Amino acid sequence: MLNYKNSSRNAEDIVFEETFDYNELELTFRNIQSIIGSYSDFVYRNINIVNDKKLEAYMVYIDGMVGTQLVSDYVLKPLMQADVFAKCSSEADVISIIEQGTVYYSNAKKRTNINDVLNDVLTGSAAVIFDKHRIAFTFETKGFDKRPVSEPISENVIKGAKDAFNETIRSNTATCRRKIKSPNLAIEETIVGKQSKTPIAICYMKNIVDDSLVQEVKRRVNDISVAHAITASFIEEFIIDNKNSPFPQIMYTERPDRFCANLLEGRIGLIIDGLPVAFIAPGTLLQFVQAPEDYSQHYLISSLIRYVRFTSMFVTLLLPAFYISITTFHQEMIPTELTFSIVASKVGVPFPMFVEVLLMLIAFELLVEAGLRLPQTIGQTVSIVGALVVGQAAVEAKLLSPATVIIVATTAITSFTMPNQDLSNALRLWRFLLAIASSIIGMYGLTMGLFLLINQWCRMDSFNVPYLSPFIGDEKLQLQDSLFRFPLSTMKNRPESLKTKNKQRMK
Amino acid sequence: MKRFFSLCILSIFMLTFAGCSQLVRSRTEIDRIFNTRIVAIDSTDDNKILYTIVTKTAMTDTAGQGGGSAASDVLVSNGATVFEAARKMGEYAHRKPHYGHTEFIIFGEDTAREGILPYLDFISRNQEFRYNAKIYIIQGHTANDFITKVNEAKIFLADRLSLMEDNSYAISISDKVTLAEALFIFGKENIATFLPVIAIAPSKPGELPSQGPYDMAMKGYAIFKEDKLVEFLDEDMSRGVNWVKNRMRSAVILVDAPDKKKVSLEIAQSKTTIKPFIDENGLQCTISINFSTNLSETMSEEELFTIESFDYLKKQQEKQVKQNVEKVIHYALEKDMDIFGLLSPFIIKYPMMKDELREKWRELFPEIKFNVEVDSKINRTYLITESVNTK
Amino acid sequence: MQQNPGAKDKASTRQLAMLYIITGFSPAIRFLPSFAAKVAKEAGWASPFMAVIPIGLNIFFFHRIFSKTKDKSTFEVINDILGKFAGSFVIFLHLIWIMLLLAFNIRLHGERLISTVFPNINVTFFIVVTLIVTSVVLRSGATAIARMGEFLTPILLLLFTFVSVFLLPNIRADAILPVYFNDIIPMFKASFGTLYLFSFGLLIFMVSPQIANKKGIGKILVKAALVYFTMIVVLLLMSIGILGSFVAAKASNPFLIIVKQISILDTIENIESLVIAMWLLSDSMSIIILSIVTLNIMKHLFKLSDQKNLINIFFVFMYIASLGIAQNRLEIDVFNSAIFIYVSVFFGFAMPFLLYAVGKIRRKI
Repeated sequence: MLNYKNSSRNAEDIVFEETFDYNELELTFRNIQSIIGSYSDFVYRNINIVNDKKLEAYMVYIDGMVGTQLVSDYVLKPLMQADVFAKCSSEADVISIIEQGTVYYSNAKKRTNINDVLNDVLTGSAAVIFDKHRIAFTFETKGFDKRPVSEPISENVIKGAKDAFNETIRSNTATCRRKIKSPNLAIEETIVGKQSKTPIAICYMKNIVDDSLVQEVKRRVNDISVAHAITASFIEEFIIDNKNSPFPQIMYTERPDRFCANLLEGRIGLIIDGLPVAFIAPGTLLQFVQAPEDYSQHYLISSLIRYVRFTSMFVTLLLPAFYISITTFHQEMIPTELTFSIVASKVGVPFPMFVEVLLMLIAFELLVEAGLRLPQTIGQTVSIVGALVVGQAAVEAKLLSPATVIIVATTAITSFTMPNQDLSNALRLWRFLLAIASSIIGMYGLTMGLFLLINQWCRMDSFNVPYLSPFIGDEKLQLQDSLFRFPLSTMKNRPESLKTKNKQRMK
Repeated sequence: MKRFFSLCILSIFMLTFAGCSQLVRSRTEIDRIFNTRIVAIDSTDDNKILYTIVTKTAMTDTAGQGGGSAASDVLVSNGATVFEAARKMGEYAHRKPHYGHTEFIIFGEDTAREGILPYLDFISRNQEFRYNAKIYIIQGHTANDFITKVNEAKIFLADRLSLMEDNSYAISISDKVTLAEALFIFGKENIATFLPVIAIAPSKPGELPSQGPYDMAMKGYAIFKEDKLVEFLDEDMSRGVNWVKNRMRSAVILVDAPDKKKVSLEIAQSKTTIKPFIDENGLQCTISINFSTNLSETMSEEELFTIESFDYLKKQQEKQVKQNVEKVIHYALEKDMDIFGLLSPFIIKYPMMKDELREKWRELFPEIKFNVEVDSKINRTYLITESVNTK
Repeated sequence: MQQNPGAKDKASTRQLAMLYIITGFSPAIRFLPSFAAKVAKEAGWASPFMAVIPIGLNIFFFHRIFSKTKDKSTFEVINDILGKFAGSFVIFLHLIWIMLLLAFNIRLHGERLISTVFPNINVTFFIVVTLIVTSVVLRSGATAIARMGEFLTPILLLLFTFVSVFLLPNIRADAILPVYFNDIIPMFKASFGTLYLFSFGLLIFMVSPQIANKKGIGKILVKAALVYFTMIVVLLLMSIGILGSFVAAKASNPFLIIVKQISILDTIENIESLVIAMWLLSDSMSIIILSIVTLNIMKHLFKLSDQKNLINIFFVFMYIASLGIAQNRLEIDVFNSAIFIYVSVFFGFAMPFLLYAVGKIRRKI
């Protein structure tokens, strides 16, 4: 049975309402027990301070979320054995003594509100409740199992740090603090998700970042009104500008060094509890083509590789469409000898070229999807079946021409060079659109499709930064770190488009 | 929104998957086109045009290895105009003719004598043709004849032609002329020009047999007045044209050693400059040729690796080149045909007299006084200095 | 959130300069070489040099008219200088001219495609597709369009440079020489072609109602004009120098013909797809620029609050106008060489002069 302050409603009912405000309830052990008490991982016990029957209190915590050793050594033991409590005559004395710090656990909070107590318990604190005084103390004795800091999986760098973010927000923020030992690194936390109550840390450099950007990010994060924020999209989709564009507008990374480097550029980072990746805003197209390796190799090598990456971005986007349009509309544009080889490979294949290409593209998507869904051990079988069935058998059965297979394979390989999976997916979508446009009317369709794509890029802004920055938008051109990576000594200034307080990166 | 999407999807499906939609008719699968490599044009006696196009057989690489089947696919049709003839192929063609890869445009001798410019209109107007297609004239036969006769060879005709073109630099008796160049020259008034010639040749040295197999060979230049063929030049004269036009790449010069045995010299580099000049004596033109040779072979037993013998050889080769060039100049003056395109150097030098020169060029040209200056040197003798003949 | 100045709603001067180039890019490729070759023969390539002084003066006028009008839109500046009534009249004249030009350009866009790349396709198809694409792009607003210009122009110039590198060695000296004093009159006549390409200057100021940092406008326009001018001269040199004035004058798109000839190592050949892409992109851009200028003028003249609703009606009208403007390619070409060039040159060069002169007399600038 619940005790509530002054509501006349039936308390059991209102607990299950989504918008229920627990503040209506009084802070008593019984109330807490009624709210979460019926579940198996909820542990409570009745304690008598220094075995004095008069001094009654209740201890509450969730099993698995707290370190039992911590609770018994640093909370229970002082309460039961410390001499100072022996003189106490009433619970009020006990409370005042605890307030003075006798229970020497470092992180203790005095709570008078049931809501706070519930939040603390649910995030891994142990609570000691003094029923009569409607007062509780919560000790942050988090002791749940967490994944240790491990190597990054998808963003591996040979010559670079090997630590990656893990699922715990606190250890992630600590990693950042270790990389940036500056008092200017601000880490502000808010809670998102009505049910999941996921903490989100907004990180930025106080002395660098543009204040209006911080305000904007905070406003958008606080405006998120979802039930939970357990997957990335629940945050991402609610704070980006252009929801209908498939192109990524917020960068994700699992590398703390990359994250910190971006903070120091003047961008804002978001660390979400429970996700082993962190987000960086604003995101521009260029950022998704840059890879962490670019900054750990000689600038000529990085420039070359980045240029290759840019080329492959356009190859993966345009190649199938271009192939369709030149083989069905503009045969004069193929070099002569190549024409004859394509014709030789095409003879006997019953499908028109664009059907062939589309079939192959779809088959490729299926293979990728199947490879993702299956466990790694079986995944390899899929690629063998794919290569043999789709590649070899279909060609030999004259269902597909070898030239098409080569084209789609090239498309696939170039799409794997994209450092960012979101970008790769967006390009996948546009690749299909362009292929369809060019199968309608060749180069004209292709060019018009490309024109619309460029239009989409140009109309996009990410947190007031043009998506195609630094190629467009600014008064001063800063192309040192765009198509090519020039030596670091030439990058004296921070990106103009971020409107940072401190423009100069180095002297 | 719903309506918008359904409209989009509907129209995409309509346009993409409608096989022969009326809207977009230019879609052709690549294996259904006839990739023309050679276009041959002849005029027939009844004022019609015989139009022949040639492509490589699609399956040459796999099936054509064993048998003696021709490597080429040939389509022939006729019509009153080139375009009509080309379209008439639709009556029986198994694939759609496509001209984007046309590399050679050839004309029969008779057609060339009547003038080739009318036939070039279709080719330069059609959006598929390229202006770097090369033009050739067939000596003594019609172009159609040439194709049917030579087509029996195993190697594909167009490939053979381009290989021949590549190798012909070694003798420099002709040079390729592209459609763009031909149109450029035909566009200028009062200029004669030259086009390279191919002839049907016996596959073994000797006379041309009445029955195949036949082969082909490069044969110097055909000289055109305006767009009409006038005469074929022999090899020496053609090389003379190349000398004057600065198109010389390499050739063999045969000279006599002091003991009257033959010595072959290979032309390594050459440069010709034309210096026009007008004074009270009328138009004058100095053609100065500067070339260098390498000693490639000697039959002589004498010691040639001396200053005196080199000097002797040098004088010999200069004399020969000078004779060669003067012969061509003489020929041009006699026929009153500016095959060297000398009008341009004159008007570039004297722009104020542009209109006057252009108008009177036909009268002025035969009066030009030519002065040929030849200067040469011998560079090297390759691996051995003295001949193995020298005792 | 507070808008960053210059990021939205305002076009930067560099965007303006890029739009200045791209508006004339497609006529430069398809129209200028044959025009210059027809009028001035082998001296055609030197004809742009006759246009240097008018272009320079034009930019000088723009600088004097606009550099000190910080937050005013172009229309306000015109109204300020000429007075409300005369200003509106001049803007209205522009409206009529641009709409004609637009209808004409849309039609020509389709016609050119048919005569060079896509034979046997109905011109209506291209007109409809162009109009649909244009209306989609127009909805994204002036900023996006200015950005597209800024993004596309360098790419187009790069592609052009790439193609030129392969073509420049093929130029024949006897096709571009001699150029001498007796060519001055034909060169002067041919220079109208170049002036036509530079005559969209005033329109560029109407693309975006607001322009940031107008102080440096003269400097950046001079830079753009230099780049553009070099491009035009190189283009003419290549078209006339490779084909000869005889063929170039007769060809409907000499540049495409010469690019078709490129062949390097027998591998890089047949790269005209680059040119077609270049030309389609620049063509679409100039149609879009003209459309947004038209809409902006309408918005200003009729005091509309939002022009989005206008777009659909406008394009239905444009569809009818572009089909009705001429019956065939011949009429279009005659229309172009007899009327449009000179009217455009009048609007592009006489108008800024008029504005400058009146402004000086009335002491407004």
